[in-house]
Amino acid sequence: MKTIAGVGKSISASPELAGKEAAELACAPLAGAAPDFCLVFGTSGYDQSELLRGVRSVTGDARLSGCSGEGIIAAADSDERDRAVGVIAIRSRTLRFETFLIREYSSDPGRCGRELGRQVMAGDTSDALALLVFPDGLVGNCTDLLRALEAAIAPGIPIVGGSAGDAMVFERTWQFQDGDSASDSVAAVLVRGRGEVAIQVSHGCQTVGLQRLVTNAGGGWLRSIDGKPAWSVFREYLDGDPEDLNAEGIAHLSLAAELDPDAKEEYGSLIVRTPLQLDRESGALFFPGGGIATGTPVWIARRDSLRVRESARACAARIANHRRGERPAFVLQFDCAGRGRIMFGSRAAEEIVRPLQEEIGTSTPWLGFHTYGEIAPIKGRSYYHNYTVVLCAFFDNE
Amino acid sequence: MSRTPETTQARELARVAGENIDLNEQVKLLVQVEQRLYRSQNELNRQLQNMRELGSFALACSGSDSAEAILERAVRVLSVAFSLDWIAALRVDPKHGTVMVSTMDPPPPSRPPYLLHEREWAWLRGLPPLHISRVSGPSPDAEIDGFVARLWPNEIPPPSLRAGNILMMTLRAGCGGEPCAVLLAYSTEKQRAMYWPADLSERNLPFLDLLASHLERALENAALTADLRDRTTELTDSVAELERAQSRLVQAQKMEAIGQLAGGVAHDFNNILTVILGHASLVRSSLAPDAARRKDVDQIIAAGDRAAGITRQLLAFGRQQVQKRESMDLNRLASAMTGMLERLIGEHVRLSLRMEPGSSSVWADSAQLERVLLNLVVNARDAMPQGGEVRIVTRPATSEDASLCDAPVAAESYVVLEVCDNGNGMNEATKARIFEPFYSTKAVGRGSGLGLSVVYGIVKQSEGHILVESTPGLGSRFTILLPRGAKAPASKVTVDSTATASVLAGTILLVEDEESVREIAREFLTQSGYVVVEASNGEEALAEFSRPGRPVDLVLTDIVMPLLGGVRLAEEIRNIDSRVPIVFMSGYSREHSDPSTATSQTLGLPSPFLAKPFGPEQLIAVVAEALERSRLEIWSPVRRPGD
Repeated sequence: MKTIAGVGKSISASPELAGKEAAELACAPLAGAAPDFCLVFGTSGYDQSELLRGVRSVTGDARLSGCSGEGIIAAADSDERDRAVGVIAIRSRTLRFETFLIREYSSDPGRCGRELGRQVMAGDTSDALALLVFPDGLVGNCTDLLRALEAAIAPGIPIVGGSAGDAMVFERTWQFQDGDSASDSVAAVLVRGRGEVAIQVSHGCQTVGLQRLVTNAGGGWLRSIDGKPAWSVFREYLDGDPEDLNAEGIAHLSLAAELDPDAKEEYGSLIVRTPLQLDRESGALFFPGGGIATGTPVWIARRDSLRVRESARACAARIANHRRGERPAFVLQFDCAGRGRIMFGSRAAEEIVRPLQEEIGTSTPWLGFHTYGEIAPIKGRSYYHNYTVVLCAFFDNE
Repeated sequence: MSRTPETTQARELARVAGENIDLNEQVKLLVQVEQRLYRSQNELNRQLQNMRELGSFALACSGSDSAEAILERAVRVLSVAFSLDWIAALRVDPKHGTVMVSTMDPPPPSRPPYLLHEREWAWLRGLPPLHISRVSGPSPDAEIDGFVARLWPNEIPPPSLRAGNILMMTLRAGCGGEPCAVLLAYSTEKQRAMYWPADLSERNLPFLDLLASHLERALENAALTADLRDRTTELTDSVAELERAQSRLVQAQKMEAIGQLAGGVAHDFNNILTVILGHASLVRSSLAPDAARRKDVDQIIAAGDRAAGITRQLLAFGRQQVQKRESMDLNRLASAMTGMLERLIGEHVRLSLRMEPGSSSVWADSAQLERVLLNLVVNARDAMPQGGEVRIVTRPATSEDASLCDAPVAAESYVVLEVCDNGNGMNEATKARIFEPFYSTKAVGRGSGLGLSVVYGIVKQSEGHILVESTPGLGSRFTILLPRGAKAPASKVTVDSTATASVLAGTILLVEDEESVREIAREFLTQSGYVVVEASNGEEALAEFSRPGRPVDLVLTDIVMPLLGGVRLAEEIRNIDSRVPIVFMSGYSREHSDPSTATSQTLGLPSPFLAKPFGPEQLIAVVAEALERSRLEIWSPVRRPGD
């Protein structure tokens, strides 16, 4: 195989030590050779600058990207503690990696998308395989970002990734480029070379109750559904009559909107959205994914654990068969924060990580993070998803 | 009012809408129930996971005897179960009131143990086994604040900045009720506490309680296991020492038995050689110097002399040689022998000496030590056919030397003579037998196999010890411990066989149980002009001595005889006539001739001693000198019966 990848994880309380530890483990399979590229996902309990310093003390000048997450997925583990970091180190003769960081995302997501597209297209994209994107998951409008980015880059380059998260405190997230960490930004990686990428996405949600109608929405805020404050509609489905989004039950509910009919066959009819903020006074809910306009038919949806498992496993099986059983060089998993411990408790890894690895190969280098939103194409068009898993597998071309 | 189609349809729509709304309400209820189920299921899974962690922890600790390893595992269990900002395991020394970090995450720079203030120590001692303290802003629990502040790493924000909980687990196992270890963990409050029940709060006390309980048991077992291991090591060491001592004893007993056997064989051979050499001497003296058969007789005598030499070596091994021990300088002896030794070992072997001045005085027989050094150096030379180095070392004995001896030895009372080589070395099987008489690894005809036996016998007879180290391919070292010198010389008398026999007349009472030896001795004496009265044992001799009218001028008696041995005979004769000179003869050494007494010193007088085999010249010389001395009245005043 022309690409060698290694994955490392650390839960050390010291950020620098954790970064160093995880990077050392990741670089071990490289047998002393320097990596070409590293992807780093760390939870927000760390000082991110010190975390990156620890990683780069091992990886040196290798290009680096990534972001903070609500949790990390490294090898066979899913870990959502405040201090956990996962690193993948890659050395390849066939694949190349270019990193980007676009700031001031929330002020104009469309501008970010255009600028990112411009920088990407400034280089050679003839052999581009995929553009990995990690925007700030607490601010901005990811739908606007994706539309602008799609328009700016060459057609056929799939955009895939996840929005950065924190420890469910909804305070701040970070995005990385090489030794820098910033917030309110979009980090990105262009993967090029002689290879192939296979992307699969699934959610496992199911609508409940009657269809609803969005009666007032804009700028990411959903103010009313069926003429009633959006929050009051959600509350009807929550156990215990909660007062805010900290209720445990909110994690099991989402809003579902109809997807383009073209996508139905492969993906299903609905795209899922999750609110991250509540305006208590007005009862309005903020959806950082955007894409919900006044007049959109929506449903309240519940996550079905069985469907979550089975649909994710089916995605993994499709990847496993993508090249008739050939193992990918490495796999990235971007899984919603609402599908980890919140849904499966201490069995998160057994439910949403290991079964997928069993399909593709348990020794495949595997890294990911728990996101505040997922980015993946459906039928050639990029979407922002929630309560969804995105699997992105890279293969070498010999 | 009639029903129109429109009215019917509206009613139908209203009915369905009503049903849908009812269904919708039921769906909401089901969704809410599902959320409760998820919550319960997750809590159950979390509890199961915790139980699994506890089970693994207990299993892993069951075979551990290291408190540090157990604490490290406990830290790991807590780190996995909870999302912690910081955790530390501390070892407490109740005796000195000090605290040392055993494990910490993040790890601290290396720190020595620090001393607890008296107030801190009192506070720590009073803590319950499990204590969770909430910290928010400046901690209301000032004691914990101060204690933790001393340990807090600089890498992470201190607890005063963010609200959270501190867990203190105080462990007392194996310390008689005093704290011996403390687990400290800190976790900030999380907004998603509802999503994350695994926090350091009271709701997790049952799990923490169980963990503390397991930890106490594990630490106690570790302390017991460590104690048991120490005792087992002591016992094993004692058993090993006992086995070594037993092995040394067996070896010593074996050598003693071989020595006695060798001495016995030598004694019997000495008697036979006395007869052979005696008769050969008589035949030779009857032949003309140019007689054809003289050469044959010379060969017989020469062979007999060689045989006598072998029996002397056997006696030396059996510690039955005559010794003349005195205070002598080992360094001077070794230096004096250097020239001779260098010629002996040849040019392909280098000889070096390393002698510590000022501490080389030993109590030994110098002639015997020369033999020892000679034999060892020759042995070393033979182990280096391709060349090498022989080193002779003299130094004071050390406690290490003493510890390797087969009997209790005070190192300060001994001096060491060491001979080392870098030759072929020996394996264990060879090393175990090198001192046995006639054992040799050399080709047949090259060496008698008695050299090291002689060394052993001399060292033992000199009240010394000999140690051997050897590694095949690397060489050997012989370490001899000899008693330090500056003792009063023992009053041993050697027979000077070159003394001129000036008294050649008199009556000799010859007492010897071996008929052939008695015959040849009689022949020697009569040919020299003495009158010989014979007796075959002590009782017979006493009867002959007491017969009136037959004065005896000298008694020549064997020592080991049936019925009445030579020494007892001498006592009896002294009681009758203390003036009569008595000469002892024996195939054993003087000290070993009579088991009931070591030397003739018990008789109060030195007595001449004639070692077998002897020729006519030696016999006549001893008898004549003894008679001469008696006539010069060197002996004590005569004591006659009735005086």
